[in-house]
Amino acid sequence: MTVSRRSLAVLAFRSRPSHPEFALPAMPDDLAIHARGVTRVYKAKPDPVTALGGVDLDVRPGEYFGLLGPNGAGKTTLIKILTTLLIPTSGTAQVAGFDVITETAKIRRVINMVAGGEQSGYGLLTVREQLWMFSQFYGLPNREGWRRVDELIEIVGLQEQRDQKIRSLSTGQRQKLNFARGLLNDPWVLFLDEPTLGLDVAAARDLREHTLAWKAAQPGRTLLLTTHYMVEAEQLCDRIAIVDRGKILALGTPEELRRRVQAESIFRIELDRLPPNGGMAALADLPGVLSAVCADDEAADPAGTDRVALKVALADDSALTSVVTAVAERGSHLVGLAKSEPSLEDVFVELVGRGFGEAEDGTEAQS
Amino acid sequence: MSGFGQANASGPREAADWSNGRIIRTNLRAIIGRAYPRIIGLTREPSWVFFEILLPFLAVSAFVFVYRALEAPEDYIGFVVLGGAMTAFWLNVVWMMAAQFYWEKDQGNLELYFTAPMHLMSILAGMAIGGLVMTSSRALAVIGIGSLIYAVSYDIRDPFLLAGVFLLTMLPLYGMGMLFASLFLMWGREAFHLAQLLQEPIYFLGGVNFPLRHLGGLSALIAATLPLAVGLDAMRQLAFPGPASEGVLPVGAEIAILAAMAVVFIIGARFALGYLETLARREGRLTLRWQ
Amino acid sequence: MTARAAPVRGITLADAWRSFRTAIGLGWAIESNWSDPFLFAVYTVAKPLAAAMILVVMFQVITGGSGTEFLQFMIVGTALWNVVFGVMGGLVQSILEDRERYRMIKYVVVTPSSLFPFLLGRSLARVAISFVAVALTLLVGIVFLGVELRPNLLILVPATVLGVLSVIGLGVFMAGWCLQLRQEAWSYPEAIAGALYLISGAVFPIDILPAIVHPIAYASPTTWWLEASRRGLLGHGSPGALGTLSDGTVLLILTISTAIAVPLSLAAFAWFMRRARQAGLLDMVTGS
Repeated sequence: MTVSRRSLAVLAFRSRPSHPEFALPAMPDDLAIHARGVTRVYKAKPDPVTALGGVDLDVRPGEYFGLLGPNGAGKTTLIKILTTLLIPTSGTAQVAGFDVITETAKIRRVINMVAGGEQSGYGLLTVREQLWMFSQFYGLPNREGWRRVDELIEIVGLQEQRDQKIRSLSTGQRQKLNFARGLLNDPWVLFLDEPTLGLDVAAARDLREHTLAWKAAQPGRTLLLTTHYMVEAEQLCDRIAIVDRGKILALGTPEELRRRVQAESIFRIELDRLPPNGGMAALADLPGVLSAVCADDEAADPAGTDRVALKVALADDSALTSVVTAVAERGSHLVGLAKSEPSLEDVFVELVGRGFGEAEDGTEAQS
Repeated sequence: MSGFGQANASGPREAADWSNGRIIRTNLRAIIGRAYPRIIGLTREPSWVFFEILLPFLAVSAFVFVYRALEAPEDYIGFVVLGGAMTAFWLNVVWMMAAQFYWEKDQGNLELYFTAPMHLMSILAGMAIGGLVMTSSRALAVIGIGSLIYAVSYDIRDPFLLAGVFLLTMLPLYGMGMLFASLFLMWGREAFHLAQLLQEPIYFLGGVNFPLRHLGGLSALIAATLPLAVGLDAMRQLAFPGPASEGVLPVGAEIAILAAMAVVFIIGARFALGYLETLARREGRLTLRWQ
Repeated sequence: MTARAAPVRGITLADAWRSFRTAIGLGWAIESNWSDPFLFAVYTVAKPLAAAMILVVMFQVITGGSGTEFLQFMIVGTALWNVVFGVMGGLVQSILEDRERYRMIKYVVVTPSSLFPFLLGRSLARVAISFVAVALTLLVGIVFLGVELRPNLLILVPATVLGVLSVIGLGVFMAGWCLQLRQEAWSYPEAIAGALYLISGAVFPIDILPAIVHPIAYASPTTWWLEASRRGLLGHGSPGALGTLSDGTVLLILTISTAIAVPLSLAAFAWFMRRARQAGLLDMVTGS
């Protein structure tokens, strides 16, 4: 797939509404992933470890769903249960309508999994051979298997490494190989478990673009992504669940989650000068404007200029137009404009009271 | 858009609905797929020629010289050579099949096998077939070089029967390997040590270097449980007819035992793999490394 | 007033001892990583005993039990051979495990401490287990097989010290060599131990071997170690040409061969390590 076609696919994705209206299916069988009360307790000394403490989850067909949380949150445990590698201690889960405990064979025909940080593979095989071997595990006829392997190698950009042995691949190349393997059987549900772990910025971006291109090429296929990179979750996922200590703390679209922390839209507006004659009060009185105050920091007022920064809180983004118009009518000029949005980590902190980094080492945030 | 595959089914439920024929074809392809790395490795890593040919010959030679020092009848030299050849298959079963899941788990491949739709027995069969080339080379080298250098004389009156007994021995042997492989799913590192334990004690109990009847009452029990012992005993009777190679049981009885073992071990492996896979999934041992 | 420089750590004998001691603990933790101690005990006992019993049965089958001198010869040889497998296998597996499985060797190498005491300590657990196997095999020989030990400590102690040193030297050489290899590195200890088993008079007199092999057999320190140990344990030498030599001659040759082998092995190890650093082999993962 050429870069231009890939870009088109990406653009096609980005032009879709950010809040697609999906009709809620009536039956769990219609869901791509359905989990109720899924618990997983590991026997450990001195005390058992509860990796999942009753997770409820519904993912619709065609949805890209993210599990976002720090290390040890239970994301990988949940993926292992859904990919039939692990049996839950209690609760039920279905993938594509099949039970993860009793119908594993059927699930394995329609899913695939790619994990990050993997060193799996047979070092002495070439890229082509490794992928072909797995095509056989999924029952592809020999010729079809080679054809598909060559297609996927081109898609992920490993043409130059096609005849290179696995053991000589870089981390990024190996992960591209893993991603290609994940698409060999054209899965209906694809599980990505921290797929960009350990990759550099360019390799991670490439992988995300491949994922988006797959989405554009195969609508109706479902993705479950686990990650602790917020950018990745926001870029790829229609909905995100924030997970910590085995529980889902919040669930929604990225926008919905951010609204939990900050209902209003906050903009930082830099003007060449303060609107004269009570312009600030006039801005605050505009419909949809909740407040307008000076940001009051040095950066906006380099010595010797009248430049000023305002912090404007709006009930809705659409009110921004009237603010900009009002500023211009009062003789000020817009120099800079930026939206201040809470990050998903802000959402996490709001929910849990500590950041991702603190969550990983188990310490509580100072209140 | 091409490249990402064709949606031949209208949904996942239809896509998961495989016919028996498709299931069989998938598993056959999986066997070929898994055998491939083993076979291709023979050409890419030729050092196996040294280890699989010269070294087994050295090991066999040590026991040949022991018998020479004891001034044993020449038949015993032949017993050691034949026993040494058969240990090649036992080692293949233990290390290249039974213990292989341990290594696969260590390298992160085991998870990928479990999430794929083929049966584990296909993977094991592929490993066995892939390893057979190396193993057969080892066995042939031991027999060929050993027989030549130590002037072993055979008296094979029915080569087809001997070949048949050999092939029949392979069935329960590899079935046993599959059964052991299921143990590795559960007991990881413990099973790794068990595999190491299954070398010298099995050589002893299997009569690899001496006729099995010399173990006395124990030999009957072993004859009932160890395919290597039973097969080797029968093959010795066919390759070296004479009082020295008198077996625990007549060849016909041992053939029947091998056939029964084949059924028991292969069916047993099928159920054990399924049961222990479920147990391993329940205990979370499938993906636990450094266990 | 100048500040005193902090002492350089890791290069004194005390540091080497600390590294060695720590590595012993590590090696034991890895070796004893069994969830079932009973299975561990069975494993430790069954393997060496089975190896000995194979030879015992072979002996019984042919001789009907007569000629216990040869049986004693075999029992002592097979008991002591556990040390060769244990030391060589222990050293090689330690270094390969730390490179391939645990991927820790690079972190040890970049410390100021030498890798050598770490490697020795790390493999000591396996060496200790091999001595347990020696003791068990001899015990079974004494209790059940009529082996009569007549220990002569004047011969046994120096023989053991020199013999173990020479085997350690060999193991160190193998460890360095195996670091250079990509494929089949794990098989080399068994391969070399197997070859030495054949030529060292472990379970049969060297005279049985083809004459062309005799020079190699006489050049190996393990041959003289086994011969000296037999004299120290049984009170007499092996059947054949070796048995005609005096105790002093045997010990002298053992001393000379060890004195040549050990420094050569250490020098070779140092060279192998340098080469490994040059070729980037210290953190190579072969996937084998």
